[in-house]
Amino acid sequence: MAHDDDIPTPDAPETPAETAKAKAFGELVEGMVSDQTPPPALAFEDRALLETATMIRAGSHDAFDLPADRRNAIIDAALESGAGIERDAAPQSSVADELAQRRLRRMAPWAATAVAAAAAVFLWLRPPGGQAPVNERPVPVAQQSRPADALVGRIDRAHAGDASARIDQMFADRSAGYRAVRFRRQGGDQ
Amino acid sequence: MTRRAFALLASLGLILAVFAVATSCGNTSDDPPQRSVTQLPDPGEVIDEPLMLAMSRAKNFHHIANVYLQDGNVDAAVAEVRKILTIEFPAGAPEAQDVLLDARARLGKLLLGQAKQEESLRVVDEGIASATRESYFLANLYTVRGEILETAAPNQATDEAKQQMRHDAIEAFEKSNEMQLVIQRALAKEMGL
Repeated sequence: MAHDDDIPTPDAPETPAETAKAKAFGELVEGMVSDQTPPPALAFEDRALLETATMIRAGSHDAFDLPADRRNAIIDAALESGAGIERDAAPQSSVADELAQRRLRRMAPWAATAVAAAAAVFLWLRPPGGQAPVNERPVPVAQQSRPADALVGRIDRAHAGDASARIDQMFADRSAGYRAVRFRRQGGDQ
Repeated sequence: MTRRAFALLASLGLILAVFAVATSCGNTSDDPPQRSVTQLPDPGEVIDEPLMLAMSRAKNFHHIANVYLQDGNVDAAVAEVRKILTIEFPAGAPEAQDVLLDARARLGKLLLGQAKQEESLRVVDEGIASATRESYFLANLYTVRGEILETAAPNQATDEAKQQMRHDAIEAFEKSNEMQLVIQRALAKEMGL
């Protein structure tokens, strides 16, 4: 049976042996904080004190003493696994789609108005009577129906009644143009 | 009214306006023909078969009249030239007015030769009234009118009537000269001369 005289009083000054023992235990605790492996051969008392210090540290300190990115990844994984949400799900995408759809519905009437305005301007500015096809080549003057003033010229008083001669001249000229028209329609000038 | 409803109403109104513009745009060929002074008409469609057919018939009637004149049959010649006035030319063909006015000029000369001055003057005046543009052929018709009035003036009953008819003859000749000069300048300008 241990003698009570071996237990020092609380207010008694520390002895050199107690100081050395406290220093040694401090080194063990520093090693534990630094995640160092404790010595394999520890006294039973020292090992018990070291385990007690570890438990105290774990209870008083932030257990998630991890880098921020590592910590956040663990938390996200836990939350996602708990909520059953897939990692690739994008809740914000549904919101973005809805916003886009709202914006589209809001702009549709104005877009239709702009198209109608452009069509009105085009119809107003287009030349009357429609436009000739773009790929249609211009018809030579000689193949066009036109006044005969340039062909006949000034009519002198002495020839006021010579309509027969003038119709001969006009018919010959227009016949040449008509032959050219028929030739062109048959693809003769391609 | 919400902004969306306003936008829908605005777009609907503009679409209706576009439809109205689309239906109203088009040819304005129903305008009454007007006689231009200096502007030559633009060439029309290409020469086609109906125009050639009409010109061929007019040509043949003239030549038939020539043959009758060679035989001294002026009445038959007049009848053939009258047939030219009944030919249907393609609508809008510029050659139509030229051929018809020239036929009236010849008919007026033939009737004047038969001393049928009133009928000759009526044929010429009808041609002048039907013209829609100035041309050498219309100027020639005014020349024939002047000849008719000049020939008919001495046969009037009164001096006033004679004087008036001479005045009308001079006016017709001057009108012919003026028109020929205008046409000549317009053609020269068009040819870049």
